Amino acid sequence: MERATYLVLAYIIIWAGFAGYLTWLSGRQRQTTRRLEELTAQVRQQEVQS
Amino acid sequence: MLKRYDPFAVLALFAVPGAAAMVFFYAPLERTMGVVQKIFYFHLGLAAAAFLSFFVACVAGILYLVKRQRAWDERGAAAVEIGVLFTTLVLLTGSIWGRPIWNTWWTWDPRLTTSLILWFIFAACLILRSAVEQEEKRAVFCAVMAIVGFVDVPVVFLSARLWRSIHPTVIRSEGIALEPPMLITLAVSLTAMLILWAALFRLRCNMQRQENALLDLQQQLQR
Repeated sequence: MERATYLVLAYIIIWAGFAGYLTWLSGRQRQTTRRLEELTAQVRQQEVQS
Repeated sequence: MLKRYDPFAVLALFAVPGAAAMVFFYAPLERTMGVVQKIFYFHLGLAAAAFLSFFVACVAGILYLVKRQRAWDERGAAAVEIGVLFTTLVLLTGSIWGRPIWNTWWTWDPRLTTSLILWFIFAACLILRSAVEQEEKRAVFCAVMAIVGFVDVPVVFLSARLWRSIHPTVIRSEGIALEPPMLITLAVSLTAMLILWAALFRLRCNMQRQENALLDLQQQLQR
């Protein structure tokens, strides 16, 4: 491999690492938002019932 | 509109690409290593941010054990997670640099070995966090592990000086052995990585807080 290829590979790995982490965080945030919506609906239902 | 965004995240959006541009277009070519030496600028920045992560995790661990406040556990969790990410990238970029320079992807050099041990300690801390269900017990275990694990950080830093190592040492007791344009690029890359670290840390802390608040709410509703 050319030396420049190693340089490009290293920077691709850095960006891919950060992009992967941010994607995982965004998925986790979506999950939290969904759980919050479910909980809000549950609370509303309890209020209606009482 | 910018008020909605974290100032560190906005700064990182400019600082990180700016640093990358400096690495590729401003920093001169090193005479013996050539273009592959340019890996070093982000490699060192990542390592500094990883060390900062584990320092924060250690301090958060101590403060959790003293104050027993959930906020310190949240900060510790965020710091460990980000630290593991940065250390993974340090190990990978170092390995890629080592292949053309040392003619091997990996060698059991003191600096590399102690860095790998550091990665294992904090990766174990992450596994521990997901394995223990009881919140207080989990927080205490993770706090203790973060404090004990931090002992390896100065060992990693000093390993290249304490033992026979082939890993280059840029920061020496006589000063930093770099040409001024290289030094400027290094300073910018280091700052950019620390800004990115701060942005990720704040983001992760906020998420952790939200998740805990949601869990509390769920438990209250179940009662």
